[in-house]
Amino acid sequence: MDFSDVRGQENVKRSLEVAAAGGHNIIMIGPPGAGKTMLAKRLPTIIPPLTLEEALETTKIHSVAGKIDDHTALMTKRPFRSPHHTISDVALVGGGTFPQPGEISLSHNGVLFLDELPEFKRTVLEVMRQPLEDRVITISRAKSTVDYPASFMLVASMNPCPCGFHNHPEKECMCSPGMVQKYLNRISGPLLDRIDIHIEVVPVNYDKLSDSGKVEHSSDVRGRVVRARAIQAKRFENVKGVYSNSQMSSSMQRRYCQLDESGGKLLKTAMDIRGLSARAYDRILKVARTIADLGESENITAEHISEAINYRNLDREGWAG
Amino acid sequence: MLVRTFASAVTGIDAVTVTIEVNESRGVQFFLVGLPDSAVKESQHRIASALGTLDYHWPGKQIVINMAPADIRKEGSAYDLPLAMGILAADEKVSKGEIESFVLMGELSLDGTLQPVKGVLPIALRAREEGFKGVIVPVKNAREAAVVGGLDVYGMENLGEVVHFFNGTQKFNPVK
Repeated sequence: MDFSDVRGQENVKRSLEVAAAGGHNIIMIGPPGAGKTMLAKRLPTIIPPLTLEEALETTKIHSVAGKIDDHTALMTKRPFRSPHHTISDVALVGGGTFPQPGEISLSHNGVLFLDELPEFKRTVLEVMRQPLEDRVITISRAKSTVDYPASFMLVASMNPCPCGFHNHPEKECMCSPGMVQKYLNRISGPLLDRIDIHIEVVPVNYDKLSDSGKVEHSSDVRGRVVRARAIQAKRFENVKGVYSNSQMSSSMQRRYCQLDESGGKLLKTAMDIRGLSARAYDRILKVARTIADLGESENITAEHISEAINYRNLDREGWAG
Repeated sequence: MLVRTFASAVTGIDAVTVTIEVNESRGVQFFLVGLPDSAVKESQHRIASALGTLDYHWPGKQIVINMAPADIRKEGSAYDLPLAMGILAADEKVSKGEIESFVLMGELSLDGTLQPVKGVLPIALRAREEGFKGVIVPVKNAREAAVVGGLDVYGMENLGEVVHFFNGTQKFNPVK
């Protein structure tokens, strides 16, 4: 499997590169067959290997869940978990009568891929809200409380409407306006607020698909991601448990995500016009920091901020037409 | 006569050391205290059967076993090994010498084979933190535990091997 298997979709690949470099959550929206699932499945080819501390944390969780086979000592590859959408909330988040880690903990330091996001039960999605913010899940029972780490990168995919062809360049959408809005509302505002990158996946035309020209390989993308991660490792070397920009606390953010005047103005304008929340503000800054790291730039410029702001399309009103 | 063996309870992704105290005296009954759950209580039958395959008998004495701290619930079948070794040590079938320097965990089959258990990595990490010399785990869990440096990890196939290890009648090498 390789990124080059997917033809075109350069902007989606770029957004996945940004997401992988900083561990940011990403949702891909587009019609059926555009390449969302195919790209998500190739994400493991561009994410960096686990550092020793991350490997220890991840292996402990898999050890407790009984998922270490007799050939494995320490895990080296990042977990990539992709549960079916019929999953229950307990299986996703952890718990049960004898508390066990759920999918979000099994994807700690790795990727949790939720394909067809609106098909998941609403209660199951809502239960992810707190761990998406706190990066830990606290399971309370009458006799005891158990904490499992849950610092994962969420990758989600969805169609824009029940028929799937809303905003399609060629095909006609058969859904009434109410149906489209209702479908999009399955992903609640608070959940969407916690997703850093929203990217529209547009179908690729025939010429692009059959073009046998130069397409970037995973190894090239991975090289850039690994370099960006190395910058982050150096930045956070004295902080325990923080390995990527997405895990930064607010105080770290104030220190490392300083904006220049033009960048600050741009962000302020965007926030006023789009009515972005404070959480959106924080997340835009973190994504901008990652974009700057990918460009090996010490400072965050207006260009970086602009790209980060454009990744939050769904906060914009009028998405549903 | 009172002996102690050490086990480990996994909570979340960390472990807590559990002390298993075995006291043998005149009488016939068997008491297991310290909030064992059903799986732990069932261990009596697995242990009795496993002892039989080694040509040992369940001691004809009153045995009281306490799993300390007594107010934490003990769950799962992984305590079979430390319980069995405690009983053998109290019955003087196994030399007590090194037994307190190790954490033991493993589920016993009726023929004495050791079955793998969950949470071995946090258990090994905790054992090293508390200054134990090593851990004895089922052979399938050995590589997992061996990740932890500064700890002797022995992967055993069955109860017989563990008995030979502590009696010094067979040499074993720690896993690297």
